[in-house]
Amino acid sequence: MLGWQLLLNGIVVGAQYALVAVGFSIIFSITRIFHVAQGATYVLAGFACYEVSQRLHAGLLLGIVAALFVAAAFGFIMQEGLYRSITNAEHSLFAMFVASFGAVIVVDNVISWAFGDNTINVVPALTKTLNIGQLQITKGGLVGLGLTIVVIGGLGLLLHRTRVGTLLRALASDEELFEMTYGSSRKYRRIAFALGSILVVPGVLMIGSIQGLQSSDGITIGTILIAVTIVGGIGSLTGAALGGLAVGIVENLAQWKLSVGWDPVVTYGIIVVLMLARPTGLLRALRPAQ
Amino acid sequence: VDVVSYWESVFVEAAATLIVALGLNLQLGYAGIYLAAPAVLYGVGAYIAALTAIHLTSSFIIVVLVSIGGSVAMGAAFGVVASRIKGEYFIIASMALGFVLTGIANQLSFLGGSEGLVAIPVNTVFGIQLIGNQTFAIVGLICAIIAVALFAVIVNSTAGRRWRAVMSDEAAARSLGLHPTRLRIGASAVSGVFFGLAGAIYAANLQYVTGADFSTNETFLLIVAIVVGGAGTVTGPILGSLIVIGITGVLTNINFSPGLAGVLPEIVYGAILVVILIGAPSGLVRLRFDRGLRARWRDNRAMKPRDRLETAIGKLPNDPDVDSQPPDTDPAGGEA
Repeated sequence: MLGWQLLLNGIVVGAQYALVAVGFSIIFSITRIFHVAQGATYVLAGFACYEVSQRLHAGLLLGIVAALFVAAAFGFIMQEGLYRSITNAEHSLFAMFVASFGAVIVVDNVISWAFGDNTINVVPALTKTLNIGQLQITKGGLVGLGLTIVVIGGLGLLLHRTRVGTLLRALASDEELFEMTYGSSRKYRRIAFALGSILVVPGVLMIGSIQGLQSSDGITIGTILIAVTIVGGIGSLTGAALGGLAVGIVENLAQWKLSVGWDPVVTYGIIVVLMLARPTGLLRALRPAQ
Repeated sequence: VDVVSYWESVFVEAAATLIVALGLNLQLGYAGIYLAAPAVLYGVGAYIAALTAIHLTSSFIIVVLVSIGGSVAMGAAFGVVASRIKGEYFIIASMALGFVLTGIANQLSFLGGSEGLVAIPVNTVFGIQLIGNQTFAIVGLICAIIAVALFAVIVNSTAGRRWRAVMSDEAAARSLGLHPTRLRIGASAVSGVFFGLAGAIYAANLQYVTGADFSTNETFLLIVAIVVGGAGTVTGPILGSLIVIGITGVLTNINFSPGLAGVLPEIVYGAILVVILIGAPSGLVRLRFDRGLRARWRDNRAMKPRDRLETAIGKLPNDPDVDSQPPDTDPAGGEA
C-alpha cells in the first residue's frame, strides 16, 4: 500500500515539475537564452500571489492576476533590460549565464529581506487531503494533475494550431531563416519570454501550496525545473511531462527506504544520473541540442 | 574590535577567495566549463582539511597536500560529468551535484551534520603555531603568491593552450588530434589544486567548517570576482577578489538593520555585475578607454544584423539590395 501511495505522490509531484518546466522550455527553445532566472520568476510570482491574496486579503483571483503580472514583468525586464544588452557583446553565452545566475541570487536575497525566510503557503485551501479508497491525495495534487494536462495540452494547441504558435516554432527551428522570411524576431522573442514567464504561475500555485515556498527556492526549485526540461528534451512538451514524472516518481519511491533528510540528495542525485544517461533529453527535441 | 586585526582578517578572506577564484577561472575562463558550484568544491577542500587536522595531523603542509589530493579527485569527478553534460547544461548538472554534496554533508555524522566540523586543532608549520589574524595574513599572502605563479605557469603551458583550443572550437581542436574529453577532465582536476589549497587555509583559519558557508551566495561572489576582473586572465581574478572582498569588508563595518546587512552584499554585487556585463563584458583588466560606457551600452543595444556583419567582415556596400544594381556584361558567357 505504501508503495502505491508513494507512486501516486510521485506522479502528483512529477506533474507539478512538468508544469513549471514547460515555461523554461519555451523560452530556451525559442530564444536560445539559458534563462536560469526562471527560478526567480517562480519565487516572485509565488510571493506576489501570497502577498496580494493573503496579506492584503484581496482574494485569490487578484492574487493570481498579480502573480501573472509580476512574472511577465520580470521576464520582460530580464529580456529587454539585460539579455538584449548582452546578446551582441563578446562571450555572450558566458555573460548570459552570469547575468541570469546573478539575477536568481539577487532576487532570492531581496525576497528574504523583504518577506523573510519563512516557508509560506501560497494557497492554503489546496493543502486539504482527500481520500480515494485507501490512497490519499491533496486537493492541490488533484488540481495540479488536471492543470498539467490542461496547460500542456493548451500549449500544444497554441504551438501547433495558431499562427503565433507556428511562427514561434519557426523561430525555434532557425532564427536566421526566420529573420530572412519575416524580418525582425524581436516581437516573437518578447512573446516567448512573456509566455514562458507566466507559465510558472500554475506551477508555483501548486508546489508553493503543497510543499510551501521560501525565498531560497529560486535557486533550488529553479535547478529542478530546468533539469526536468533538459532531462525531457528541450522544446518538447511531452518530454517535459516525462522528465517531470521521472524525477517525481523516483524521488518519492526513494522515501520508502530513506529518511526525509536525504530528500535533496536523492532528488538532485536523480537529476545528475538522468542527465548523464541522456544528456540531450529523453525525447528527441524540437531543436537538437548543441 | 581592533581595526588592524579586522582588516587582517578581511585580507585572509581575500587571499582564500583569490585562490578559489583562480580555480574557477581555470574552468570558466580557460576550459569553457560552466561550473556553477565552485563554493561547494571550496567546501570539499575545507572539509577534507578539517578531517585531516582532526584525525591525522595538525601539520599545515600535510593538511594542504591531503586537501589538494582530495580536491583534485573531486575535480576530476566533476570533469567526468562535464565532459558528458556540456555547455550550459553543465550549469544545472554542477548545481545539482553541489546540492547532492551539501545534502550529504548535512546527513553524515562523521561530517558533523548541519553543525559542521568544529574544534579543528591549531595547525602548525615548522613548529610555528598558526593562530591569529596576523599569522594567517602572512600565510594567506604566501599561498596566494604561490597560487598565482602556479596558475600563470599552468595556463601558459601546452595543456593550458589545449584547454583554450577546446573551449573556442571543439570540432577544430578534435581535428588537430586533441582529446576534448580528457582535456576537460584534466582541467577540472587541476582546478582542484586551488580549491584544496584555499579550503585548507579556510579550515585552519576559522577552525570550524559548516556546509552553510559554501552556499550559492558564495558561488555568486566568486563569479562576480572573476567577471569584474576579467575571466580568462591571470590578473583579473586578483583584482576582482580584492574588489568584492574589499566591498564586503566595508559593508560589514557599517551598521545596517540585521535583515538588510545579510542581503546587501548580494544586491551590491548584482548592481556591479550589471554595469560590468554591459559596459565591460571582458572585465576591468581588459577595459580599453577608447569609448565611453554610454557609447558601448548604446552600441551593444543598437547592433543590427548588418552592424554585426560589418564588425565581422568590414564595410558592406551601401545599397541594401545588391541584386538591383545595374548588371554588368555577363562574364559567364551570355552568348550560350
